[in-house]
Amino acid sequence: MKDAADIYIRQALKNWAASQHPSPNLRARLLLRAAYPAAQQVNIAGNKRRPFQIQKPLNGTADQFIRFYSLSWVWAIHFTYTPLTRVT
Amino acid sequence: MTTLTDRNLILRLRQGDFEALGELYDRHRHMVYRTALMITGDIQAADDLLQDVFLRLHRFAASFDVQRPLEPWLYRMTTNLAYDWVKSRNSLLGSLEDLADWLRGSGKNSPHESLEERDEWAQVQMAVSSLPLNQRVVVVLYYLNDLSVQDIADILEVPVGTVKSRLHYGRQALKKKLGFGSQALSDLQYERP
Repeated sequence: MKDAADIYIRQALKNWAASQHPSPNLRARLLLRAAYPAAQQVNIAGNKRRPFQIQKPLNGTADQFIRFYSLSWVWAIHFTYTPLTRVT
Repeated sequence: MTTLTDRNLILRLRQGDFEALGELYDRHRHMVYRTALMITGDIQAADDLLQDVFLRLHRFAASFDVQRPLEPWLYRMTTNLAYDWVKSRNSLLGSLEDLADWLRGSGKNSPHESLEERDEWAQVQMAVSSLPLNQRVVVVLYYLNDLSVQDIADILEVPVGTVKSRLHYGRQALKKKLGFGSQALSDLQYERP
């Protein structure tokens, strides 16, 4: 036996749910993702990238040299032990 | 295509027929979406869960036991993913303000309601959404999806007594929130509607 509250709750939930619909383009997106799972990964990676991450990384030989020479102890040693000579 | 059973569609899906996946989606999308929406209370999350459920169906189609019905599997997957979503959301946000905003329905992801519907039906929906997660899932499966207690126990992989207990306390809380008396609670019989 069900009381009035039981019936009311059930009907109210069903009425409310009947007005809720998924996005219309979900079907196409689902089939696309199922067919091309790699495309989804690219998409996710694209979403997570930020502009500063898109810049070309500084990994050339000269870039590595500059990065190395930027270390304070490197130029400290350099200026300490480089003999001073006249330039004129 | 419309005369094919779920079993036949899954067999087609195994062979790479994506239209079979589309057909399964068309058949079951409302059930999955509304269950996910009722548990999560978030439109975007319900959309995402709907996609995830069918993507998993696609992924696991090869190992799916076609002798068994599809719907319990869909319910189990939907509730599991919704559980995970709610738990991760609670752990990330966990603020009462967010819950209050959501209960007020002011968020952009709150479910669609017209003004006249809001008063009548949304009160119940909001009351359900305020239940503890375990009770909410049982209440949604029982009232919204018309599942029996035994079916719910099988889907959630918990004892029947646990389902009855959660349903009992969920009903009590709902009646209290909705202003019903508690005198009829003892009349409850857990039968399939």
